[in-house]
Amino acid sequence: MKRSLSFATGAGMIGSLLVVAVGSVLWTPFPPLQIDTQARFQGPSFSHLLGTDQLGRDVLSNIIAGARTTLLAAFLATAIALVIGTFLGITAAASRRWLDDAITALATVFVAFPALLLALVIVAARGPSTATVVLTVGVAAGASVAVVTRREAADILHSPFVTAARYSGSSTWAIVHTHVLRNLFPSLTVQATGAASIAIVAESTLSYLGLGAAPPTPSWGRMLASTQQYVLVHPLLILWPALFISLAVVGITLLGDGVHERLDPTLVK
Amino acid sequence: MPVKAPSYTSLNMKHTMIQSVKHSALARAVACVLGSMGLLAAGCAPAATASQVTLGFTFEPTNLDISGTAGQAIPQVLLDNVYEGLVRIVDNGSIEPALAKSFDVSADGLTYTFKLRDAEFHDGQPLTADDVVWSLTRLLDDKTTAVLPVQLAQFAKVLAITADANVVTIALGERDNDLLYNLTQRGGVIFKKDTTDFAGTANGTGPYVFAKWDKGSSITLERFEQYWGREGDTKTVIFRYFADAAALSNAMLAGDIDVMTTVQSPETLEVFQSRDDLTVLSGTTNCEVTLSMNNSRAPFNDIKVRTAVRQALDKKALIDVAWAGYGTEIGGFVPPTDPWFEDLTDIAPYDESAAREALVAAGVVAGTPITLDVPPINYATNSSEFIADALGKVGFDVTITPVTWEEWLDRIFTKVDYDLTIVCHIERNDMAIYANPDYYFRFDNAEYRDLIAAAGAAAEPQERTATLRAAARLLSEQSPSDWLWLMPSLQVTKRDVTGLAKNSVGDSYNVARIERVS
Repeated sequence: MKRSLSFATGAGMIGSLLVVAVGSVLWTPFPPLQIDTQARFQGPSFSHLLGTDQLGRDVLSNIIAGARTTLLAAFLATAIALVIGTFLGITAAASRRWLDDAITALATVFVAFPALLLALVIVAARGPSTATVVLTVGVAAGASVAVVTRREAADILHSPFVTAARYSGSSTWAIVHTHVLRNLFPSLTVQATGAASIAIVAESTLSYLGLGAAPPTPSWGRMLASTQQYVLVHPLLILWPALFISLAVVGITLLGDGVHERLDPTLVK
Repeated sequence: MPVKAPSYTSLNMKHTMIQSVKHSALARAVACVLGSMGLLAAGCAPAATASQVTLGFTFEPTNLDISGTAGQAIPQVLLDNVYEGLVRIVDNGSIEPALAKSFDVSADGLTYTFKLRDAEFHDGQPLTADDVVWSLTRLLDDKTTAVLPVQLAQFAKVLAITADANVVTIALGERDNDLLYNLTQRGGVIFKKDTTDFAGTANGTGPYVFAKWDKGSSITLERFEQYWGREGDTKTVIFRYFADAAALSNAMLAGDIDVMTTVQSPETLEVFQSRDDLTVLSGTTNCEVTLSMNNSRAPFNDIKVRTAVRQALDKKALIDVAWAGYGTEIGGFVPPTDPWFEDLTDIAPYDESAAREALVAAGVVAGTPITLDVPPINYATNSSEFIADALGKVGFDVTITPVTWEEWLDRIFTKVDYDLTIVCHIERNDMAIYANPDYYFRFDNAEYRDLIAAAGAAAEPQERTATLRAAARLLSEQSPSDWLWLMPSLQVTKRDVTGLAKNSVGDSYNVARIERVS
């Protein structure tokens, strides 16, 4: 298989962020919430590599701890999207007409509604919470996964090898497990990276708007919100969280492209 | 260690960067003289006044109901500009006649007589004594929900309001030294009799007509050409609302607005100071940034706990963190500009270990969960994490909950469902709010109520001052809230803008004398 630059870059970026996020449970340069009013607005230095914020907290430690919030939200939302989307997609493809139509119609409605907007509406109604953001983005992204899965699963279910398997006595579950899920894997992986990048942007956006992670939980979006008032005098403070949000989204998109390139046989020259 | 408050004067001197607004006028005069000597060809054309001034704010009204909806945003735009009372307060704090041509107070202080002037509402109807009686009588119905409870309390001593031709008489059951001031604020606004739509439109008698509201963006006021007094200096005044301090700052720097009426992020002041085309104005306010505690709810129903909360907070550090050091520590609910001000910072001074011990003695176990509700305004959001951290160090487990202003007004202010919240109390002479046990502090202290009542009924100013000073001290000793700092009034204007009120003495933002002379 051809090596993919996108895959290597994306995997490198997301892998590093994951290591940092998981590692932050055990270690950060400083406790992220440790306030030091004598050390406010310090520029980058050896002791504080990215400087300190308005409360004298170490910015790097907050970026690291914020990665945990953002990536965990992305992981959970993606997992929800995959479980819901795959289940509904395969169910629709394998069911009678009326159930297929019902699931497809429902999924299409959700797909038509931007995930971020949906999350905004639900969070505004139910109150700020990362859990609500994760659930909403998971369900909304799950609808896109369901639409794609249904189409591909239907193709697979009508393919000669599935017909052959059916005549040779395989159960529906065995067919789904052996043939459908395995053949869906490439497109599901791409779908997963799409859902993850939506989740990262949604979590950051809603936290920025004060509708996601509640203070003082470290979060990139919230760091943006709380430091933007200082942008004229301490612009670096807003740069760091913005940079890491961008890196995470770019990384995951590259990873998705890379997976697509590696696993989609039509792209192999 | 007790933290000594900087004196207000020194603070002002330290931070006042007032570039005289007369600067540009002086430059013009010099140019004219030089021109007359043939040294300069141009520069002395008559000064031209711009027909429009745009003012930037961060806090938009939710509706126009000045008497029925709390919050400063509504009176800021409508009071004295669109609506007027019988009397009004001016920049130096004195009270002068407005819709009353003159007024008279009887020797016993129980009868106020106002002689009305000829004035017209914006819809063309004349002002009558009936309008005044109708408007003020709304404040006497203690069952009404049409006016705010705080106004009912302010006018509780009024027995009757009567009219005879163009003379209106207010009769009181007992002396009330705050009545005239209260009449200058939102409670004293005169509506056209039988007005029903307060929230959707504003028909007043003021120098400006409410012309247009682009919700989420701006309110436009147009000069009222039939105004009874000196007309507004600028034809069109636009109140533009920005979602946050950064957007407001950027608009000022980009020249999109002429005045930034509030500097919500003082850290950025140096950027404005460095610009030759901008002027920074520094003045006083009555805005005490208050950490309100729900006195009806455990553990804040215990004075020992409330005092410990105050002792846990290092105000000096907090002011540095949240307001770039520009606030004044006051230790109580009285601004230094009031005659009854007394430095009360030695009551419940910062002492973390004393706070921790007091909480243990009061039976507050370590990790007691409490909630700090934070409205979306910089002074509150900037303080919240510092406060949560400081209270965490003495034994509380603080959850910070961001709330919208709608939720704040509904759940906290009206339904009193909260532990702690942060809000600026901006009304002048507002010590009486702590004398109202139904106010959202739920502070119920008979001794304090008696002192406030005695001050209101005092015949001599000295007696009133002494009584209020005693009340302020008692209030601070009872610690129903903590008073974090007194907010300075910081504004940034384009250099050619004149006529701004430097101090913030009431709820209104008076625009009548603002103009841009170029």
